[in-house]
Amino acid sequence: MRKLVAILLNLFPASFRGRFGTDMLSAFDDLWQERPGVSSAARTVSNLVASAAIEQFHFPGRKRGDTPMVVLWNDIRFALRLMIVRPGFAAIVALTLAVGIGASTAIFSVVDAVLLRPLPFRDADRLVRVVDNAPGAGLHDTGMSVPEYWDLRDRSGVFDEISVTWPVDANLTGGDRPERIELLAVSPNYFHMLGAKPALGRVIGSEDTAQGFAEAVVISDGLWQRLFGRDPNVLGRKVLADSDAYYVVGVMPPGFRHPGRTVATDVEIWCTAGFAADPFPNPPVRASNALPGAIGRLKQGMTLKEAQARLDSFTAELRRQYPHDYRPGAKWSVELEPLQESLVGRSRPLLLILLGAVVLMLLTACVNVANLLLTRGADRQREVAIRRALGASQSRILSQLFTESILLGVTGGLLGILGAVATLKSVLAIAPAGIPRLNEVTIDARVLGFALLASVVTGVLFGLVPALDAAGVRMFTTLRSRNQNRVGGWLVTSEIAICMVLMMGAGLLSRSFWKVAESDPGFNPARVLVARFWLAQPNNPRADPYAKPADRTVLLREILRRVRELPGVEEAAVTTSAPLTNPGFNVPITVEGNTSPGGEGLRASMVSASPDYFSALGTPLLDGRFLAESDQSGSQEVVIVDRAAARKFFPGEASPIGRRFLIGRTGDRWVTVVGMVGDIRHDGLDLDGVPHIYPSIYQRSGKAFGVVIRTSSNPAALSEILAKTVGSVDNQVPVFGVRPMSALMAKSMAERRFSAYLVACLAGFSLLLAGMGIYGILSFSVGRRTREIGVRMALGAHRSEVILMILRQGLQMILAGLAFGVLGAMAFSRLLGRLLFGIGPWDPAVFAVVPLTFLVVALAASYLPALRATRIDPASALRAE
Amino acid sequence: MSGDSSNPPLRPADFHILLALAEAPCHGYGLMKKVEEESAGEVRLELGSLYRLLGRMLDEGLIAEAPKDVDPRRRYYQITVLGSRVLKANAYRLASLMNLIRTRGLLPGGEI
Repeated sequence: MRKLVAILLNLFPASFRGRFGTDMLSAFDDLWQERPGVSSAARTVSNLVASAAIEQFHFPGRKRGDTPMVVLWNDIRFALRLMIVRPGFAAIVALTLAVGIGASTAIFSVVDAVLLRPLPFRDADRLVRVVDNAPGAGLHDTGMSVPEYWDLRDRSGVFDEISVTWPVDANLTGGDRPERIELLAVSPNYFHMLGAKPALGRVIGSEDTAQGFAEAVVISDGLWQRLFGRDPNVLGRKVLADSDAYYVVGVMPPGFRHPGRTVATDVEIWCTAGFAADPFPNPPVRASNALPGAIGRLKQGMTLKEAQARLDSFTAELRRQYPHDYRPGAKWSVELEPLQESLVGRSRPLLLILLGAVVLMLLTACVNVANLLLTRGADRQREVAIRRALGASQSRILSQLFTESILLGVTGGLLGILGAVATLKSVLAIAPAGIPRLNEVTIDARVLGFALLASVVTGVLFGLVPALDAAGVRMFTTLRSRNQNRVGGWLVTSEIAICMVLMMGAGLLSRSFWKVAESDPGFNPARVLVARFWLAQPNNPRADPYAKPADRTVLLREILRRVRELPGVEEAAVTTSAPLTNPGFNVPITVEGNTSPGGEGLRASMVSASPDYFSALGTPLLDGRFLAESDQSGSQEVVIVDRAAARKFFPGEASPIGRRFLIGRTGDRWVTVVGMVGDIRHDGLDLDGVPHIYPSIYQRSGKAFGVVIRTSSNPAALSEILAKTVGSVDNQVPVFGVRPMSALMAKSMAERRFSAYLVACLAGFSLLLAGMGIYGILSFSVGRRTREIGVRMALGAHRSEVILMILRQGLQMILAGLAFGVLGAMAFSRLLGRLLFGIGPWDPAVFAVVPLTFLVVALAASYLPALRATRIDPASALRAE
Repeated sequence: MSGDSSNPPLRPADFHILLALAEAPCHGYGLMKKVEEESAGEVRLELGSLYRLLGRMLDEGLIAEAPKDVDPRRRYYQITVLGSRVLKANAYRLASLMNLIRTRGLLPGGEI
């Protein structure tokens, strides 16, 4: 116990300890001897802690009887009075801080909602995404088979609940026109697992267990609005999805989002299936990975590590049990990924960079305000001197000054919060769609807490230097006035350095964006229009009018015929995926005669196309021929490769024409290469080097299609009529996604544009502040050197000499700031990582242009005070002071 | 020491400390016990609070450290001349209050 008391004594200030330390210990010995016991000990300990706290914050020299709260209130009143006396000054400071804290708060609210807050589901920390991999065959996220799902559910011992998640396009028919909707097929326990409650009706549950698809579906709030006009009698209504009848049993609340991948948009309909009857193979086959993915909830108390280890031994067991289905060479395994990570992990770098940029801007604002306070500190010298004479100690003065700066900080912060609340909606409107969970972004208690914390910390930061200076703490020299100038100079230098780092970041991001925008996408997007359509997949395969490829060919040919007849259409083609719409089909490739180990992991992105596809896109033919009408089912299976594929599959060969390969690992459907085209940036404008193969669409196709046309004039004008024409061939087929190629390209660059734009805005504001800082400090310096300048001019100095003198003073600060800024930028630019494109983190163009730009602005800011210096009238300058 | 305007009333804890020391110098724990007894349990000084108050009263000159010869192991504190005066002034104030209380019949007994 004595030891505990001795330790607690360390909480007291050193002076107090020195005075009473030993005494307190001996008094404690007496106390403990007479009154040992738990309650006595507790009282003593708590009293020691409280007394130590009071001693630490007790400033000597205040009136007897003043509690700390009274002192604080007096300080606040005094600070408020000062602000009212100088409203202009207070306004500038408050506004500067408002922009800084407001922007920080807005961005933090996004970071908080997307990255930090747990997903809005029950036990969200136990939710995981289940990923099947076969690294031995170079396959990742392959999906799982139905028997495997059953094993994971019933025998693995890892999951509380696990549900299949299968995102699908579907045709909603039965209304006045067919609609393409986003559908998600799940297991019956999906909603229970997530703890999701409906807004109307009920959710899918165990009562909807079925071998194939159950009839009950749940719709989203968005679909309820769009299709049913929020009709409260929607429950029990029949909907036709892919020609099959379902009944609406529930509506989800507006904020509910499926926490995973979808085909294109948010999920609009949830249905459930057992995946063991039509249209699925019956009985289910282990070798066929029919299910694209699953979400599960780990058992209570099990960590991710434990679950993964358990799962690994379970999958090893399965590999042993079914060696034909899980070939040893493939090294099949199942990986668990925290659900939140899988959803937001991709956006993390972008958001963190934005947060970093906004914090830098806030720092610039802090330094600027510190400088403002510092220069104003000169006016307060008298006041401080008087207070010292009246007996105020240094700590007393410091605390009063800090109260002032914190008050300024909080005022700026409150204004900033208001600004953030007002502008949050518009910020979210321009945010790229790729960032998940944006619907959850609000300004809640935690965000407000962050804003308040930022205000207080900001207040302390910018108040630190001026307060220390005003209280008389010497920092660089002993002369008060020189000290101020030196300190101010260093403040501006650091402001310049921070501003430089921000501007470099903006420059690198902007240059990357332009590089992507200028890069050759591999086709000519001008006057190209794209439309998409989707052929239904009814549950009963015998009811599918397009089950046979021959039937699909008839449809496609008719669509092309009608589209070509439209006025203004120069070229038309059909494909399984147009560039920048849905991704191509990722397939393994086995090259004929290639037994080398490198040949094991060959893959390509497969896009089927009609003969005019490449001429419609304007992609050059490099070798061989284009696809032809004669390439149909029954004739030789042909394919066109792009240059990347030719290089990868047939390295070193002069021409790939005539070579054969298999699409897949086994089988005998060999395809022959008949042509080679240039590389198309199919899946994203900043993705290149992906090998593509283009079979004829009459020989290989799926159910999803795109129509690509080149028009003679404005493509957007043809949107409606294109949609109508395609839909006219079969009125059960919905047409969607009708867009000019230019719009698709813009969307593909949305994230880059957003980050470059935002960081540029922050850098711009920072530049403004830095300019103001330079102007401010030089003006102040000129003001103080009035006499000296007056003397010089009286002795015959030219105007230009005086200007140069002031400029030289400024240049010192500026060059130092530039140097530190460039070094800082070199250190941090690597953090931009994936966001850079086509340039390195130390891109010479950016590193040359940005400092030069800054130098020009800085010199301009310095020139004005220099000019003022020359207007000094020597006579009055000498007379003054 | 002029009138009450420059001599605000002592807080109970200070008053009892001065009262205790007016009788004889005390050391830390002894002071704690004496104050608790004399105030009939109303003023209970724990270790930390006691020494905080002692520190303040030392700074204000109301008490001082006693010479070390009494008991070498513990530090004793004694009242100063200033402290005595302040204590007396407060005692007078309390006495006149008591008179007022008695004349209003709140407590038995006549004027002091």
